[in-house]
Amino acid sequence: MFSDIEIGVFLDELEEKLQIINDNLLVLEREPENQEVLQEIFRAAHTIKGSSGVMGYEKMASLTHEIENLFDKIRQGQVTVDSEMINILFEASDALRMLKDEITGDGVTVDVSEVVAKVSGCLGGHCDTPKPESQAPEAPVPADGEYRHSWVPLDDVVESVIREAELKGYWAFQVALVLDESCQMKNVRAFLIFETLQQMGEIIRSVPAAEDLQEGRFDRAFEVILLTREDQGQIYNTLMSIAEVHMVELKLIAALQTAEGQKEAGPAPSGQEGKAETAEEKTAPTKERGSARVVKTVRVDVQKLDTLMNLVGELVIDRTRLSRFAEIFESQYRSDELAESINEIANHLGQVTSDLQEQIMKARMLPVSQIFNRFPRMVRDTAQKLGKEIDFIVEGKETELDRNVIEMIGDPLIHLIRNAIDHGIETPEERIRKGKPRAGRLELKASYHESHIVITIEDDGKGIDVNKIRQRAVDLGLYDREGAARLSDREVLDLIFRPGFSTASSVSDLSGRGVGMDVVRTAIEQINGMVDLDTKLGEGSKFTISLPLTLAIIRSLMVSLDDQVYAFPLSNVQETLRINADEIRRIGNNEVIVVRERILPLLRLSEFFGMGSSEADKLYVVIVASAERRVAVVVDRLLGEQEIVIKSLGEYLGDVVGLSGATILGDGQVALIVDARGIVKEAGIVEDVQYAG
Amino acid sequence: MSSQGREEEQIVVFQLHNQTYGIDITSVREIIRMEEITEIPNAPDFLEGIINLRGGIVPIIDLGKRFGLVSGERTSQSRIIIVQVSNQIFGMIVDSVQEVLRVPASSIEPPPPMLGGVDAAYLRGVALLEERLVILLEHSRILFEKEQQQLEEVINQ
Repeated sequence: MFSDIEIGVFLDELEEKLQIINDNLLVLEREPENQEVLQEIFRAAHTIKGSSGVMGYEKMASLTHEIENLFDKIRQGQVTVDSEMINILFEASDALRMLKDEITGDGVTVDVSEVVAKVSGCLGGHCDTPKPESQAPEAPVPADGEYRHSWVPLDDVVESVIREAELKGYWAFQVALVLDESCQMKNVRAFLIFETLQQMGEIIRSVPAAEDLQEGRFDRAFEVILLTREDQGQIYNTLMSIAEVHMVELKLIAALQTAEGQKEAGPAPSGQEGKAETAEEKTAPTKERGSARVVKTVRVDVQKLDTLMNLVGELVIDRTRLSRFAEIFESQYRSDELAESINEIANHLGQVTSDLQEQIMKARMLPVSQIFNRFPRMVRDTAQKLGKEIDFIVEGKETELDRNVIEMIGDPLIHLIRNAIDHGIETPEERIRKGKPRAGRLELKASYHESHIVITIEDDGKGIDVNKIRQRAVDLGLYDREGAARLSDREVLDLIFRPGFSTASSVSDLSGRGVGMDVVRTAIEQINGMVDLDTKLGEGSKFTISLPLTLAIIRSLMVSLDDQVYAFPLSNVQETLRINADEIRRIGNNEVIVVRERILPLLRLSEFFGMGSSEADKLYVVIVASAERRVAVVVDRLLGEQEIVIKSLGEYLGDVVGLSGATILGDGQVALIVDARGIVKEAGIVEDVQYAG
Repeated sequence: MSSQGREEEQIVVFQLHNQTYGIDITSVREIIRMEEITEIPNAPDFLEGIINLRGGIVPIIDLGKRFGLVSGERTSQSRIIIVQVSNQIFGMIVDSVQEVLRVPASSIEPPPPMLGGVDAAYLRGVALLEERLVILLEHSRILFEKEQQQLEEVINQ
């Protein structure tokens, strides 16, 4: 038996090698002759084979053995790499990952005999010929050939659902299942299969209908349409691992008929990685390998870190109290030795708590490579499916972010990247016609920018036609013709993020950038981030996402109102002003002020919070910005800047209008955090009036 | 949630508006002195605000106001009873906390329809102890009813 530590070491190494295999496969697809890449994969497979053999993981050892064999042949020039082989190898790498999940108990039991057979099939030099409608190899038909599935044709409704889902980043598969002849309780089995499928995605249709299946009113076979983010191999293997499933057949539905793309795509329009990426991939793993052995890690529940953080918060409060006590002590006993000792202790405690706080913060940070590493493969698959060629460049993978932020940012990024490939970047033919390089360029970059991390997604594709959006805004009745014309381009682009602005039917008109963009923005704003869009018609688009490094701590402007302290997140504060009461003007019933020739709606925070207003001559104003809108907020006093730890108000209070949380101040008091976005939104109605006027 | 089936239960006995109430001790996390409470704008009347309880934010309700009575005066005897219902923690302000009593299950009677102006929905029963009448609270109903439903939905999932 092996100890947990030994298994942990094995898994860490396995993860590292799997990443090497995956990364290098992507390079290999582009440069089938690259000896160094071949060598890397060969070595990684060899290492896994060795260690998994020792650990007794037979399936993994046999699969890596086949991969190693194949690469040995390729190295010696006996077999040449083709796109079908790459597909099979990706399938093999997926299978390895599933085997890893099986070991860690995160996944189901996996049957690898199919994929082992496929890899060894490549040894002869010719892999299975691909079918045109699918980029991954078809799930094999059973050897006896007794059952042939004839697919039920799709209707319009299903197709439109699929199209919408694809835009959201899902694949659609037709899945045919045949149960064992001896299967006793077909309905129960069917139910289990449905459950399994629903864990991987959403079933949008089944033939026969689900009720019939549950009642057992079917022969042995049934068919479903599944929307999922999993890949074909994963689904196949998961389904085959269910008992009494005799046969599974999968067919990828390509509903995205992007004009000429689909036909000209041919069997192997490989998604290609850029030179920059290639270069980086070569250096990065070596570096990581060097350090990976030295760094010892422990897996810790994030909740435990949160608790630690809370406890440190307690210490910070005690520290503040202690230093205040030390001051009193000193003023009473002068430079008594005791007083000095207390001062010393207070200072030391202060130092230690700050360090502790910082270290716990750091423990929550992870490099963005956690999510970025998934993208090259995704870009490849998406590009291949759409018949596009992409140079995908990734930079700044080592940039670190709070774990929670990383979890939240994954989906918006997937969405933006898919959108860029789907609607931004043109087909190779179209690009050549326009005098652009054949392959589109897609850059994903992360970098630090003061207390923020900035992630950009930039493509050199079509760009967005601002006038078409103006037209769309008029069609939707959001503005009249003149109103729309008065909007600046920036304001027009901002419309894309409005919920329901774009619909599926306008996808081609607007190059589809509007679909689900409101979801992207909401997700990013939930973690106190901002998203911006720059675009130039014919030259491409660039999305800039700026995020706080951590969700837990933000810099804020502290203000007071009626003896209570409120915090404005600094990321939303533009400036602070002191104005005279007579500078306030009125538009209708609304108060406004003019700041540098811009009319800003004025919001009295005390009134907003239902606390009655004070009538002072001099007013303190905080100018709050969110999504291109600005509002002047009147407060009683400005107290200064401070770093605060964000705490949720809890489920019981739920969403309170105008508040986004609370924080605990140095003296133990609770201060409320103002939801700048919400306030701007509330006051936004006033601003609209002003636009129209 | 209720403690039926036990032969004896322990209750924390407290005063509110000159009445004696009791709450099952298993739901009580701790009892603290009054401290400064941060008001939440636009919140329901009975919600006094939030406090910092060892680094966590805990909502505090004025139990008197929750029962639709006038808010009592805060004295040095006033206490906040921190209660946990499912995974929710909240505090309720009471006039004073007196003792912890053991109550035989047999001495608990269902609540009469109206009792001291307090809605029967909040009550679990009444216990007669050494000539004293202790009104037992159904702590799970002290939160919003809507919230309560949501809680149950979450739990049932």
